[in-house]
Parts: sequence; C-alpha cells; structure tokens
Amino acid sequence: MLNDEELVAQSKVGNLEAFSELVERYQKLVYTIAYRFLGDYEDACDAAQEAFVRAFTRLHTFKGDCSFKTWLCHIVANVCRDELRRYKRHPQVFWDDGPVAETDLNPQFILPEEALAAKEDEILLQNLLNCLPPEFRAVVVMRDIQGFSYEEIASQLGCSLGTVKSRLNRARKYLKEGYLRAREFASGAGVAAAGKGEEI
Amino acid sequence: MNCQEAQDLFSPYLDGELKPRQKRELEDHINRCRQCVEDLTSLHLAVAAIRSLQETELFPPPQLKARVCGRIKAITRYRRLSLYLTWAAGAVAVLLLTVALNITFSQESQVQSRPGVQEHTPLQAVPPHEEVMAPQAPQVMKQGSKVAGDLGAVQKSEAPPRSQDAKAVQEKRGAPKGQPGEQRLQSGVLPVGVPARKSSQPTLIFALSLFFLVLAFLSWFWWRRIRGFGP
Repeated sequence: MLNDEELVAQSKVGNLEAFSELVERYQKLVYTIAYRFLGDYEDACDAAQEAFVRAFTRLHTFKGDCSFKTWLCHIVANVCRDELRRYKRHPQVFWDDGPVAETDLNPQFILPEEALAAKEDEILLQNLLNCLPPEFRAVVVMRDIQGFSYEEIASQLGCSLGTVKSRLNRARKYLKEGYLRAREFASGAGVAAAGKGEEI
Repeated sequence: MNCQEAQDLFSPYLDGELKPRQKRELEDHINRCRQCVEDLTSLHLAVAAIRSLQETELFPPPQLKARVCGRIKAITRYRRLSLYLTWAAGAVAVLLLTVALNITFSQESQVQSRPGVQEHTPLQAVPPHEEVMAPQAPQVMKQGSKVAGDLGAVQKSEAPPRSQDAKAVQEKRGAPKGQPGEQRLQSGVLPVGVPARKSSQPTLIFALSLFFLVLAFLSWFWWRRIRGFGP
C-alpha cells in the first residue's frame, strides 16, 4: 500500500486513481470534522466534497511542509468557516468580543430543552456545539477536535491570539454549563422514570 | 488573585498555555479556594467530553467519493480544453497579426516607392479593364511574334473603343504616345479598388487577431484558475 506522500506525488502528475485513493482514505475524517462544524449531515457532505475539490485544485501549492492529513484538515476548517459565515438557518445568539452579559452565559436562555434531552453523550455534545455562535464553534472544533494550536487558529481565523483565548474561554464555559445542566436533566428524568416505575 | 481572575485562566491552564508565573499564581489560588476547584473540575470534564468526539468517526454517505471523483474529472476535462483553446486561439491570433502586418507594410512600401500615385488619383475613376488591357495591345504587337500579333488583332477587333479611350486619357495627361502601358506602370498607378482594400482589410484582420488574442488570454486565465494536476 502506498503512503500519502507517494499518492500525493502521483496525484500531482495527473494520476486520478491516486487522488481517488486519498479521498477513500480521508473521507471519514473530513466528513466528521465538517459535521462537527456544521451540525448537519447534508451540509457536512457538501462541505466535505468542496474540501476535496479545493484540495485537488490547490495540490500544486502543497509543498510537504506538514503531512497531507494536516493540510487537508486546514482546508476543511476553511471550507466550513466559509459555510458558517453563510449559516443563517439555526437560531443563534451572537456574542461580541466585549464583556459577556449574564444572560448570554446562561444556557437556559439559549439551550432548547430537546438539545439537553439527548440520551447519548455524542449527540448531546453536538447539540451543545450547534447552539454556539459560528465564530465560537469554529474555535472549539479547531482546538478540541482538530487539535490545532492557538497560533494556528489565530492565523487561520485572521484574529489575534487574545481573541482566540477569549473566545475559547467563553465557549468552554458555556459548554460546561450546558453539559452540567444536561446531566442534571438526565438524572432528573431518570429519577422521574424510576418514580413512575415504582408507582406502576 | 481573585476567583474571577482565576476562572479566566482555567481554559488556557487546561491547554498548558499559561506562563509559569501565571500558572503558579493560579495553583496557589486553587489550593485555597474550594469553589474554584469545583469549577475547574467541571470545566475539565466538559472539555474532556468534547475532546472525546475526536474518537468518534462518522460514516459519510456512499455517494461522497463518487461525487468528488465526478467533479474532479470534470475539472480536469475543462482544464485540458482551456489549455488547447489557449494554444489554438493564440496561434490564430499570431497568424492573423502577421498577415495584417504584412499587408500593411507591403501597401506602405508600394505607396512610398511610387510617389506619383497622388498625382494620378483622378485616373482611378477609369475602370480597371481600361488600365490594364489597353496598353497590352501595342506592347504585344511590338514584339512581332505571330501569336502575339494574332492576339493583338483579336484584342483590337474585340475592344477598339476601349484602347481609343485609354489613348485619349493618356493624351489628356500629356503622356508619350509610344508606350503608354510601361509609362503608367512605372508611375505606380494602381487599379481601381486597391485603395479601398488598403484601408479596410488590414483593420478587419487586426480586429480579428485582437479577438483571438483576448480569447487566448481568457482561456489561459481560466486554465490558471482551475489548475490542479499537471497538463
């Protein structure tokens, strides 16, 4: 089996099969990251497709300074960020970079009940991410899911290191509150269900 | 350090992004504050939960790869086409430009080598037949060959009024009677219609070459824009 570098080299000279193999290898990763950013399966599929096509058209700029996987992750993040800018479908509360009002930090104000009622942790966490404003969601996904450094995030988003730190801090506080509330909600529902069971 | 200041540092603390002095101060505060310990622990739990999403890979729809490959093939095709179009349009533009320049220069050199053209412009009103045909008869006759004599006789018999008209025109201008055709060719008199071509034909060809040049540039621009693989 050929490694990434060999496949990239072959792709650069026009071997479509080689690029197809790269798509096969990374489609899960790209699709998953796109879904974490966008929170919608159909949009994630479109974004993944766009990311691969963008990677293909810019393959000549890939000099091998980092791994192909890292380079591809940067492209997915860019595509999803562009998509998030156009995202107007979900109701969101947008925070500015100034001091956060108390109401903005209160998950009760933003989080819908159904977001907290998810039984699986993965769905609950995705629901929480979806409730974040786009610029905050992008920072959390890039840091905690893609594993980028603060400097890389700042460079990709075109903002200062301080802004990245501030956004990450506030987004995590919000996620923590939501996560704790969901756990209480789940334990409350569990207790209620147990109570109902006893009555029956 | 108070609790608010400490909480602002929790996130970079979990990422290991604090400076040593900040880290030491925060840890000193945490050791003294029970509430901050609880807050830091719950934040750590939430961040760990979010990070656990890394391990969950989703299965993309089966058509994703086919869609990507389809788009890539289309791009490659367009790219190749635009490259061919660039070369073809560029070649046609160069060819047309050469032809247009050639015509322009040849006309200019004709005009320069025959300064009398301007003087003879009133003659342009005379039809071309009268310019070219009329002088041939006496010339051919002069050579004395039998065939030439016959042809001259035929021409004479076919078009006597034209040669007479031409002679009349020559006489009007004061040209020598002996060899009217030679005199006229030497003085650079062009048949009717040539001056009109001189002005419109090269311009048209220049315009066409410009069109192909623009087409070549646009297709080259498109090729650059969608370039991915080698040609």
